[in-house]
Amino acid sequence: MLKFILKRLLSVIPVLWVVATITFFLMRLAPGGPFSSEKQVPEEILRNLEAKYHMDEPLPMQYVRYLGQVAKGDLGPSFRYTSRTVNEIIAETFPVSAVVGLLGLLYALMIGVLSGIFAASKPNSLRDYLSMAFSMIGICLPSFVIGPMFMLIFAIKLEWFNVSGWNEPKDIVLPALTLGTMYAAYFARLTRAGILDVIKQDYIRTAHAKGLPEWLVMFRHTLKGGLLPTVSFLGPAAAAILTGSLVVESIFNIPGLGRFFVQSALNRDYTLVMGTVLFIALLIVVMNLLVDIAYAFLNPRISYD
Amino acid sequence: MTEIVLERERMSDSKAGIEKGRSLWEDAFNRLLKNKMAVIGLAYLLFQTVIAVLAPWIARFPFDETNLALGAIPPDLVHFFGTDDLGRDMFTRVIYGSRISLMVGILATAVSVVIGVLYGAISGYVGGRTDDMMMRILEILYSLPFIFFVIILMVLFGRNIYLLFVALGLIEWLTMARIVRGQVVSLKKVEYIDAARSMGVGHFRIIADHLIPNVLGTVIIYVTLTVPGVILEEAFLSFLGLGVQEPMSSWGTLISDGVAAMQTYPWMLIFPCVTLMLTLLALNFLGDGLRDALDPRASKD
Repeated sequence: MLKFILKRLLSVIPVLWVVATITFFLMRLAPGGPFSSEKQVPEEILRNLEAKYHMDEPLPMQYVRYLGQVAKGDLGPSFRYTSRTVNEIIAETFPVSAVVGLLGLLYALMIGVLSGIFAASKPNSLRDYLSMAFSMIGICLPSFVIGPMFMLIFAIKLEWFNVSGWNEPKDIVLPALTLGTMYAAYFARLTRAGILDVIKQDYIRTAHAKGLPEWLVMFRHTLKGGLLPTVSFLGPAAAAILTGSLVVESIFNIPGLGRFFVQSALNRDYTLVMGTVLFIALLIVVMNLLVDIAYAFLNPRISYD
Repeated sequence: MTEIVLERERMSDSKAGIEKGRSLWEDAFNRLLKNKMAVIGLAYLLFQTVIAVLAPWIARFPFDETNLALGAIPPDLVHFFGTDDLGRDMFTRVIYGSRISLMVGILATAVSVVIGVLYGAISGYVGGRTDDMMMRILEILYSLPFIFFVIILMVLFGRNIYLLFVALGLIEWLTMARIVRGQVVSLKKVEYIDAARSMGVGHFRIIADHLIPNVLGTVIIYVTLTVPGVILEEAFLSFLGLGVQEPMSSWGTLISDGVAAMQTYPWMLIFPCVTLMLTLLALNFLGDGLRDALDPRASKD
């Protein structure tokens, strides 16, 4: 087990290196520098600015310098918010995104798994068809459709929540629901499929035969194997929820990482964009690692090496 | 008794004329026709495509004609979907938007199919160390946050619609490559491939004539699942203001405009949202139906 985890940890390095390299060269190959979009600056100041950010050095040297910096965990200063470093900005905005994302994921898991169980407990019944029809609709409701719809219904028509902003605890509800709904639908379908797969196995028949009540068979035996597809989808889902935060934070005007990323991309704030992408890549890789470990625990048939 | 009679009859029939065999594709098509939701989905998509292609003739207003005096009015018999705050006909904008959205969906998927099938087929066919290497690369690519790269690309190189096709296609080929590789690896051991090889058929011909036609079914299934993914990604980028630009519109830009105006003119939000949702639903139903039809064993239920 330890060897498996170590091996997976080591595989994080090439991924991050590729991400750093791609973002670095994408930025540098682009026409126009970070200072060209601003109003005309005198030649000397421009040269000073470039010297300050080491942009006057040859490209390979900048690349090596950047990699060295990143290896130490320093993502550099922001080009646009000149008084702050990228690390500071991430430290400030990420917790906001994390809270919304985690709540959204939890909600998606709860609703998804429960309705999956509900549907699979009586295959091809009305409840099965209804839950699957709902989940099909859910899959077709991306965050930028369902977010505004929620806003229209719950904030504008019913006035239960604020339209946007980040001031009260209840401001978290609509964004989390928006982020989670599509994944609740995916989880429901995966859970149902997983359970239906397991239900045919001999050990389930044995559990029934020894007289265990229906719900105990479900929770003690069926779910253990039946949830495997759901667990393996957790990694991609968490990554997608991170991406979804770009839209949701923009819609609901939440000061999180996603909104900062979009703004920094539009501002051509190169270091902030690179830093955010690297940070998100790291998050995704770590989450996938955690999911793999959880999967290995749940499924003893998987070998660790 | 009757069975034997019937059998005799059948045999004499086939003697009279050569009995027409049914191909696997015909079987699959018949299975697909039995799936009601898939047929509805297919019909809706055809309808949507026809409207998108004929948009310049169907629309009764130019898509970029503003009419500030008119302003935003709710749906009526002249403007089926109402007008936006600049007085542009929303019905026209939605059907012109569908041109962009469907085109991006189809072209980007085509890019992903070409790359994915080639990569997967080569990796699976060559095997050995090359296969290991190519799959390791794929694994690394899998963990990259591609949509962020696309955002960077769109910001840096301007919102070029052709770049958008390629960029989205470049994201989506990974799973395709993996699926095709798996199929090719299992097909490689089949006798007719051995036979072809022993007859001295070249590698390229084997891949093109024997392997790719046999993975086509799987590829078609996955294509119907990739198209909605790409349409969603385009809408996502356009929603953030990083996709197509005014005065062109896609469903993403329309939804984004709709969000800005939803408090006062909700129809500007509702119609593009519903159109996008119906298209995604149709594609998903068709994809499910195709999977059941083309690969009965892999069916989830």
